[in-house]
Amino acid sequence: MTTPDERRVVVPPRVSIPIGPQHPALKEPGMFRLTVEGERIVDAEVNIGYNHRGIEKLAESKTHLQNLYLMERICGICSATHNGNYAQAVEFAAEVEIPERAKFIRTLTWELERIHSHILWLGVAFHEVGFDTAFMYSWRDREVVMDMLEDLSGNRVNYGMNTIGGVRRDVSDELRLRLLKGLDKLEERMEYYRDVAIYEKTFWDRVAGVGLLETGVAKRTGAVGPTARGSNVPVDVRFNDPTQAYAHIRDSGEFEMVLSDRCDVAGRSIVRVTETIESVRMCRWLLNNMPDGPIRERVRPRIQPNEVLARYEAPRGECIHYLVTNGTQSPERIKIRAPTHANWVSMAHCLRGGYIADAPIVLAAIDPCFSCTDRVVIVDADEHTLELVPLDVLRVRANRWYKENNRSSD
Amino acid sequence: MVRLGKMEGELIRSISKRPATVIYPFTKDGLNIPPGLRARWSYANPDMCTGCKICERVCPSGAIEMVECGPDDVRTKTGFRPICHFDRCILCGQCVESCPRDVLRLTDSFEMAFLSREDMVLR
Repeated sequence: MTTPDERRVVVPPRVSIPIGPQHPALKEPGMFRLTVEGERIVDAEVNIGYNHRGIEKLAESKTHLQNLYLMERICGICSATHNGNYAQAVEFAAEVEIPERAKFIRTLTWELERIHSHILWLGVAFHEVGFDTAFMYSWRDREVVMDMLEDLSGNRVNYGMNTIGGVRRDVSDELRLRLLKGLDKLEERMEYYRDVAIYEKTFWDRVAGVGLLETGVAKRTGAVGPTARGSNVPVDVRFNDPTQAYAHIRDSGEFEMVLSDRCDVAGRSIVRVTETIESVRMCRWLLNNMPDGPIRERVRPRIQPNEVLARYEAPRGECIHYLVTNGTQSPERIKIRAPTHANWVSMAHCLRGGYIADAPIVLAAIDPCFSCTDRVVIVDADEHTLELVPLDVLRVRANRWYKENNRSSD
Repeated sequence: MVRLGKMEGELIRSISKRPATVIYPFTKDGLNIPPGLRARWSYANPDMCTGCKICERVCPSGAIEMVECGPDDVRTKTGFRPICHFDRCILCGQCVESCPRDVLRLTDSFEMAFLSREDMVLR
């Protein structure tokens, strides 16, 4: 048995805080081991791979049509992303061109989903920094776009809009008017939240200069989506490699990729809120320029042997579906690279050098569906204690710490 | 100097507004149920059913089962009719879409709480 003197020898010089990995109901559980000196994070280690659902294997035993609904359940927020991207992957493999109107409706669903996902993120970010008033207001206004999606597709979350060869529902004239009305309201509200994010000290002082990810590091670690664009890396599949109606959107010249050179969480916030307003404008453009015609093309259920890569800019970044078909109704192999997977790598760099109180917002800044990452173990080196705390408590402590250690606004 | 935040005006204006939420089980006003909602499954048009089993084949979650027509059922051509194990149904509506004779529907009845699994077999 060790004596207290001996025990002092094995005390780690630094405190190690593992966050995760068991998070019920989160689709991408991750493990973050933060090594801290006082309040500063000196090292961060990020691990993933704790949640194996076997979706890719399951997909091999189902038909392409059935897989559409399976893919949509990969993510609750990006359901149209995976559903649409799989549909376009199968269409690429079958080498069919879908009608123009179907492309527009598919893109419209994608863009509406981006609006709802970005408002959701904004609310979560407000919540993570302890600004719950704005969190509740922004989520109230998110209901507008949720209702629009429900009106368009018949479901609030799993839209199921796409089918192989087009879309399943048309946009009638009445629906178009209702959507345009909703978009007007959303644009007004999002301009307001953009101002809240930028001019409200409560939020800005907690995100400015936090979680730095320099342009070079973002490129080297392969960051995607708003995380990369917040670090001034111009990657956006909608503009770099447009599919569906994005080609028309890009050619119209009315829309630009949103970039920020701030490289911190504030930059990522600005990119997201500005992008939401851009998405509202894109939706309006799509509704106003939607061509007439059929909404689906018949595709034979047996897809010829082929190997394709379908890319789409999901709300969180580039989503890749790699599909191998073998001439039957089922895929030979489907591999999905979700955007959060690409963004994990840069996470360790973002955390390093920051305060432990900034960890919740830095982790939330890549939008990893973090709501369920709720267990934290704090190992206290002085008292030899092991404490299991939920993320909520960590957030409350972080907010209290900032109340006591006020940061003057720059 | 203490600077006022951006949200104070919004907060004060909200005092006179009605709540954003709906006290749902007591009232259904303001739920915004859209006309094309995909909710409870129904075997709406049995006279048209031929028992072709397409709905069973396309169902992604295996919710639809073809059973032999009972004495009370409309006799289909093959002698089989679909039933839905609603506990497995994911409300995708693929059966409705694939049905060649417009037999099935997803209704807009969205209150779908059942006391037992047996009650969830929709006929």
